[in-house]
Amino acid sequence: MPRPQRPLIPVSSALTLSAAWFLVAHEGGSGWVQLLGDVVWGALLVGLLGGALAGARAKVTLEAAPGDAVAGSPVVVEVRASTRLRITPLEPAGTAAFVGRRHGEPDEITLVPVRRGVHQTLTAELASAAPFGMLWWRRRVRLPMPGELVVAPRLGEARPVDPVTESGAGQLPTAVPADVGEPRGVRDYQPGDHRRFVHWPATAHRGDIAVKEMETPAAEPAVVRAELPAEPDAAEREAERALGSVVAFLAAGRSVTLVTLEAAGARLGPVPDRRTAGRRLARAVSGSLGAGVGSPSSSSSLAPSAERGSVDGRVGIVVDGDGAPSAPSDGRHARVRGGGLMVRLRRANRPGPAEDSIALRVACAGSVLVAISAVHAEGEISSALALVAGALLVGGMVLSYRTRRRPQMWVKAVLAGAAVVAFAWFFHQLSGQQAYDIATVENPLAQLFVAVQVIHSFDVPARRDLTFSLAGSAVLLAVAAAQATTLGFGLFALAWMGLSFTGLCYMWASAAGGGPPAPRAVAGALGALVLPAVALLLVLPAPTVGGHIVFPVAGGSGGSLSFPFSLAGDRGSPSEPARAGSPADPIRVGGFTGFASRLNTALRGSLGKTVVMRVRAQRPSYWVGETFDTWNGVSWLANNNVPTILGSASPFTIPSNIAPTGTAPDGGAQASAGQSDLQTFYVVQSTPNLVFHADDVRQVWFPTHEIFVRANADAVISPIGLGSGAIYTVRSDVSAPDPAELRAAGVLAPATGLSTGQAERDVALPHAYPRAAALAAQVTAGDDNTYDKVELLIDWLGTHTTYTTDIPPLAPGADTVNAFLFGDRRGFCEQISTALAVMLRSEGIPAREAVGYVPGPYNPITDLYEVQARDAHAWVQVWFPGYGWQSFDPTAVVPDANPSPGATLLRGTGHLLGTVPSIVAGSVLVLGILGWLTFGAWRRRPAGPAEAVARRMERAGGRAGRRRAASETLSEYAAALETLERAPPGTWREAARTVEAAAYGDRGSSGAARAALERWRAPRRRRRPYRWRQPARVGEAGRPGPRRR
Amino acid sequence: MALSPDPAGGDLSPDAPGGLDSAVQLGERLVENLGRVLLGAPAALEAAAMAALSGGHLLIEDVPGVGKTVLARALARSLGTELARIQGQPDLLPSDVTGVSVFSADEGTWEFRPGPVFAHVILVDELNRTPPRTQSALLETMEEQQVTVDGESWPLPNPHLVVATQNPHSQLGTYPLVDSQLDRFALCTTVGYPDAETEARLVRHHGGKFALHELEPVSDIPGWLAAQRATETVEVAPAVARYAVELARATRHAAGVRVGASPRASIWLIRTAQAHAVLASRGYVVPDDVKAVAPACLAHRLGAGDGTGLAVVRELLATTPSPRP
Repeated sequence: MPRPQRPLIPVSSALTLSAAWFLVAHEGGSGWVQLLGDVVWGALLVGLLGGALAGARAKVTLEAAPGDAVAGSPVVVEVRASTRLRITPLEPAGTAAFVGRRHGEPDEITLVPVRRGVHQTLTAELASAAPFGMLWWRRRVRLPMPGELVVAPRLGEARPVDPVTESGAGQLPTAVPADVGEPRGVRDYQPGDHRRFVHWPATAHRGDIAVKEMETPAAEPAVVRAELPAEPDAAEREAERALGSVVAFLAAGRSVTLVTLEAAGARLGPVPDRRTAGRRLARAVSGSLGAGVGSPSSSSSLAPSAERGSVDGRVGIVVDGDGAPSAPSDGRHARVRGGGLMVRLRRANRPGPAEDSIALRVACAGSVLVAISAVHAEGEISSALALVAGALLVGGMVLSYRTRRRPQMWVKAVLAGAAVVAFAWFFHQLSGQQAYDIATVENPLAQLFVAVQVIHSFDVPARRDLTFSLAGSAVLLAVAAAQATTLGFGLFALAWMGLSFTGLCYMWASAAGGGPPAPRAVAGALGALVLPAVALLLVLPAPTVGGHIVFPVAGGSGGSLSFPFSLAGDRGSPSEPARAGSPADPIRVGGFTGFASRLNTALRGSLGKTVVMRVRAQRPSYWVGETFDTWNGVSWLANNNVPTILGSASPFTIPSNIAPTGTAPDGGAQASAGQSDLQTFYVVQSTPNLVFHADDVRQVWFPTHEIFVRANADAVISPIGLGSGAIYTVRSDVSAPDPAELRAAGVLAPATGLSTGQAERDVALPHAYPRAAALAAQVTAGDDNTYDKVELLIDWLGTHTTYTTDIPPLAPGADTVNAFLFGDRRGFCEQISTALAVMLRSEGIPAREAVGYVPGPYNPITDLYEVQARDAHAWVQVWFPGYGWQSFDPTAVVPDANPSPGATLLRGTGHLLGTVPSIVAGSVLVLGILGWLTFGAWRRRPAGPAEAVARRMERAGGRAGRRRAASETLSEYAAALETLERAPPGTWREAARTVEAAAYGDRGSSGAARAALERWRAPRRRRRPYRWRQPARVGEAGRPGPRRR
Repeated sequence: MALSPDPAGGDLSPDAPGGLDSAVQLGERLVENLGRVLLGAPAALEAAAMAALSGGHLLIEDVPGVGKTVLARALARSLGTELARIQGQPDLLPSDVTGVSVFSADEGTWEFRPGPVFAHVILVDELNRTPPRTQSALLETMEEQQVTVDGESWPLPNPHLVVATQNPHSQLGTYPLVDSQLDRFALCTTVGYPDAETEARLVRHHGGKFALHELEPVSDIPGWLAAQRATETVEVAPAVARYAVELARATRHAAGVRVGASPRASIWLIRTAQAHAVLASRGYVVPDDVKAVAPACLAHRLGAGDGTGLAVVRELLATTPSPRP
């Protein structure tokens, strides 16, 4: 299995990043952050583990290699790799190279053997960081050589005597035997031999002419004894000298006999040339030759030297073993580890190798540019800053590219200065703020990030620096995503994902020796990345806002107001006070006429689906705009008291004296100590200058220096117009007593806790409602509890009225409540809630009308409630002693006038789906997929060893380009493979016979068959021997190759 | 012979039930013996040996003079018996085959005189020259191994092997074999012309009739019978049987086939495959055995004497999925 190379840094950074990312997403409630985080996490997973998979699956074969090599000289070997890899030859040593660049075509690697020797295999280290170049995984393999590689020793000196001058001959042996010396034997006739030397008895015996061969002084072989010491380096020197001597003798025209000790024993034989001598010496092992070895028949002619490494003493040449061998200088192990802090610092800051890939730089610069644009689009940096930053970034990238080979020290100094300035500016921005919460820090932080990115872009000579750029762009985009409120952010997200994915692919392509990324690898990486990302998306719960972060506020496009105390007009003019206008005229807030100083229930607004605002809140709630106290029979009127001015700076705290919460029945604190939560409102359409809020408003973060609060805190009024882009945050107390608590409070006098004037206003009716009062009394007959009365009346409305917005206009002079309750009982929220309020008042219960919005559809990606114009709503607030005003919505129980069955069904289904937690659904889905895959694999499993071997044979044959036909029996297939030239030779037929015996024979399941099957391995594919250097071996009935790892 | 050529342990130990070892020896020696007589036709030798081992009847289709009769005689002699010969001709009568009841004047009784069919190995030469009624006399002898004359059934000697020859090329004055007759032949083979060298050896008095006289039997009748019984015990894996049945069934829907292979054909496909396995010294049938015998076993049942049957079988062998592994 591959092992990772220095995994600590990438893995720990990935884990830290993921954790931080998750935290940010779930505190800020941004689905966009989480989505980006899922993708980044998927990329990290693929990037960190991809190398292991690629390394483990890589198939590397040596295709062709020469049979001979010399120590210290490079040898080129052809390698075929199934994927991109860095291959470092270790034994024999060589230079690291990237292979598999062109799919299926062989690459060349260079071996530089350090020592002589015979190599059947090449031990090499495979390394891969596919597909993104994040983490290198290494694996050591032994690759069989196509043939033996025999490494001859270097050519050493034959010291101390120069054999050429010593022998004095200088002439080459001739083909004609000299007629001197003793006859040594006979040999074949060669043209030019004199007939005198024909050996007639041998000729008669053989039938071919044989001539006598004579011993001549020139033909006397010089005997070189190579007796190698045990120490490898010394042995190497000795072999080099022996080769030097042999070569010197050969150059002098002498025939040479070399005596070596091989693993099988001493070997003595003539060496006609340097190559043969090299091959002999390559096989030589260290050890003593013994005195007799190396002395052929005429022992007198060869006095074996006692000294090791001696050469034939007769000619007086002695190759002695002195001369201290120099230790091999192996540069690969020269890297120094450890060292002092400064050394380590300097090493860490050493610029990496210059990165030449333009595509990689463009992708990285593009990612950063997209991130800057996104930050700008979310309003965190100004247009000017975005433009300048973009221009500088491009310039910096170009400059970095041009100076990548000679980084300028002064540039670094300038950049360091610029970074210091940026940080100083950041802290200066902060020092102007009163509270260091996220709301005040976030935008300066985004600006600082942009500045750092721009500064960094001037110094990105190496790939590592570009990685930082890419990671920085991810962080910058996350900063933008945290503020994103629309799905339009998806465009930035997609563009960034595309660019950074391209960048990552080029990272690996560039790390693996340049060139474009392989399309198949890119597709694989994309698939592998999308899978965990989607799985995470399904499994992780959607983030919801944590309530610990106050988001930044903004003024938006609204202008200043002429009458800042009152509500701005509906016609779009800030100078005109708001009143319930006529629906025929253009109405500002999506058609609802209620956000004004009066709510005219005679008017029929038409409400559209326009998104009015988006709300980020921890829980859905009614967004209260204002409330009305006074009912005149047709309209609800707001109280016209001059609002209280809150003049401190944001956040504005609503003083408790104008925000009655009611006191507990025992006079203590509020009975239901409400927890408070935060809501952030993002205004999309121009709205009235009402500050919406949930429940009881306590604190407002608002981009002005003052704000107005109506008495009773039923309405918070903005001094500026709230146009699109305005953002404000409200902290509200949640007062959600349960029915039991309310029922307990309901036994008290209804108006307990209200001031006298207020209580009078909240039960006042413009005229007597005898029929409505009688109806209310009848419905609530026999019940004294306020809460029960409210519930009974709501139930009655639910069963006796129907909801429709399509009702005729109110007749002039008619009373809304009477017309509704005693007419056709059809109406919408205004009629229904007013009827409830009037009936409650007739029972002496303080009730008032509230207008605002229902929560609106929830968008899980942005974690925002998208409030549409048609979500405008009116409902009733009832006073409960000790609990304050409690909202009741009678409209919720009123059935639709003509509901469509599909709508009802859909609502039910949606509700049901909402109750299933996404984590459970996701887990079930993932488990289902895994189970399905496992079941598939289980179904395709081989039935036994016989079938397993058959499959292995089919796979091996398929790799050789010969697939098994459906009608083919295994024996036929094996026979076809054996005749196939491209297929590796092997024991195909025998294996097929064994498999068939096991599958069809009655005794096939015996231990012998099983053992035979388990021994069988698909033979490795071997190419035909390398050119002419190696004779084709006949009858090499493929031994089973070593197991593929 | 040494019976452990197979490292997988699929060897046949001599003490295997039914004496599979002796069957293997018989098969091997039979092929060797026949090879001395009929040179250069290994397929025909193998078919003859398979017929002997499986007990199925053999039809040899070829032109005159290639050694059909010699093969039959060599087979009979090798199996330690003599060949009974029936020469097909238009005026051959059923009683000439089965035998007749004659009145014995001495004893005053009707006495049954057995015909040539009462032999272990009979050669019906030029079968298609006999008229259909004589051919039908052979139907009973071939399937039921008995002869019924004058309401009395006489069992034929066991084992009983019919070797028939016919000349497919000269159709003048012949009676084409009926389907039921063809279906009773387990195997159909051709001898074919020998190559030039073999023919040269033949004319120099090697092989052929010259060798026939020197031929030594390799077995006796009880040995032959035991070998047949042993061959029946050769293991047939369910997958292989299914494959054979698939092949036979496929012929029934193949294009250009008038009558598909019968269940009897499926049975003989397996039995001859068993014999083929024995010839390969194996105690079990592999799909290759079925493939090897399928042309000889199925083709003659499909076509009308022309080459369509063989083409169909070859096509089916190339398309029917073989059992895995």
